[in-house]
Amino acid sequence: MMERPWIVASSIVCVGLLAPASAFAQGRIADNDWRHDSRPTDAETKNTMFAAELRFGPYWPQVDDEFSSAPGPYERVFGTGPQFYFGLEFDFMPLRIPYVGMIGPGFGWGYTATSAKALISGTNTASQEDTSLSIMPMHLSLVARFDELQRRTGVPIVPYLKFGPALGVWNASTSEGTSVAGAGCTVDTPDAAGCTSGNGITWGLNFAIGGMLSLNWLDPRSANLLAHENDVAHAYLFGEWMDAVLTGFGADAMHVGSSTVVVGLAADF
Amino acid sequence: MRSRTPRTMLAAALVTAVVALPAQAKVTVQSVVDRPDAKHPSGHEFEISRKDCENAKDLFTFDVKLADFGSKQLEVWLAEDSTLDCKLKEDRTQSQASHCVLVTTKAPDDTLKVAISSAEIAGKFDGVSGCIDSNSNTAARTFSLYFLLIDANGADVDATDAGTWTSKLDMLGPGPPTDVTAGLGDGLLVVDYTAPSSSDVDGFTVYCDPPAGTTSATSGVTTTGAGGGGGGGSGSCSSSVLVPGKVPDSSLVSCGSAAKSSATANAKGLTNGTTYAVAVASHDVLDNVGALSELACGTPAPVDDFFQTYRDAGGTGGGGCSISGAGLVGQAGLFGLGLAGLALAARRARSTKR
Repeated sequence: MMERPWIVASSIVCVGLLAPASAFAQGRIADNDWRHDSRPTDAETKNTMFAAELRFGPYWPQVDDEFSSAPGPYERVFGTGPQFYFGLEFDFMPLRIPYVGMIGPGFGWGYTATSAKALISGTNTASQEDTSLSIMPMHLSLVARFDELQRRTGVPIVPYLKFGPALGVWNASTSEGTSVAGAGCTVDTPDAAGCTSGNGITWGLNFAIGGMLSLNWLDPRSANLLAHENDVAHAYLFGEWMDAVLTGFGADAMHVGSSTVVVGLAADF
Repeated sequence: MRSRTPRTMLAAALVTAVVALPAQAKVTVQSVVDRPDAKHPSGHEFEISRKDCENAKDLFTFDVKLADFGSKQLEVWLAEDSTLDCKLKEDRTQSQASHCVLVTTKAPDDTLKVAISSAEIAGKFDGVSGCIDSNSNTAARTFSLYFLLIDANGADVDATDAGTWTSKLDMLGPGPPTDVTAGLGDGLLVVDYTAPSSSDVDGFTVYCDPPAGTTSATSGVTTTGAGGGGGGGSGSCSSSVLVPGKVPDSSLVSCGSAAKSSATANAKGLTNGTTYAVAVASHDVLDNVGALSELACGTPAPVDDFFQTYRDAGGTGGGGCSISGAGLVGQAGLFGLGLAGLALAARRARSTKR
């Protein structure tokens, strides 16, 4: 539920930015300056098929969703605050649907980690020994970017959807190395009978919906130059609701996904 | 500017060569060739540490070639002060406040192997006795060995009758860390400290009493206050083995270590429920260990890290793949590079197509 205010706020910001941008775009149509570096439609009409993203946001691993009682182990050790998440994504969208946009596969990779002091056994008192959890969420999604509105009208908004399989590679550790659970087990005996090492892969699905605000209208001349010199048609600021449902499809797995809002910078080329 | 003709330039070069040609050297010190037990890092290979001094087998062997020595004898002098010039009789005079020190004397021969132990060299330094350096400055001390062909009168020595070799002596470890505390861990104590201001710190070593792997105090650790009751070390304790301000005995085995940039070290291999006294000492790049810090005491106890807590609560994940935390970060870097490469290749492909 925490992400709804983010979505509303993002929408307001986008609409607020849209009005002047739209007006600016209309204003440019009457511009008779057709010198090479200032053609207004070069970037907008460029046929792009690649997109890259750099993304940041809070991340709440859904570890405690496995447990009916509260607080769960994650909350007991790490509290309720989010982890910091950052990620990269690369999309290849060779298929263009007229009046809709472009579609293709995209691969995303992210990283997030948190640490705290481990608890003295049988208590909720913290020791001085560090314990941490790092997660590397990844997905291979079908990505649809609806950029025809921008291409045909100059409105600098590109909505998009992503859906596909995902996985999270995770590792729980102490200052001595990867954690090992079990009676009499230590970090030096991860493979001993009755010992379980604190790492794994959790499979799941990734779903995301978001909107990108083109930043080309801030400086059309530079944007066109970027398009000519480097093939980068647009630079974007984007906001996205991302739901990484990493539950292992019912198998024995730590739930390391998160439902969250991320923001970032993107470019298509 | 008018250029010189090749003939003029050649003549100028010949004149320069003749003027710059040094007189024939009569003493040549080839190199140090035999130092089997010293394993100092690159750039410090020939420096002398306290352990080197204490090792009788640590020998510097110099190949010395002599010519036209006549009735002169070979003497090796040590100058600790860079302003001293042992070729001068005045600087070899014992009455001077600062003077060169005779290390050894050899009968001359065309080729000599001059073996000098680290202890011999160290023993010639001011304030050093029995490999103990009583100076307060812990920085390395630069010195020069002069290999001199000297006549019976001990007169000034010509530059052609002298060879020099320069290195450093450093037998003192850096100062001790301060603000040492011992926090509770599972089979370990988390030792926090403030690094000393000494510029030659290269790392830290933690010492425990009783030693790691044993459960009884060899010296009788006594504790008072919170530290004695288990948990972190806010109480005080004492140990006859670990004496603050004293350089730890070389027979003491460390129970932990940390790099020079770290302010935390884990004392490992400890037994839960046993109270330990811990102290930290700095060491320099030659592995000279400095004086021990104040003691901190603590009692390790069982700890549940996140994964143990998760499993105890009924969690079923884990045991999956062998990717460590460091591996994750490494893969992050590799992925970033791969992504950048893919994007670049894709863009180039498009450009080529156009």
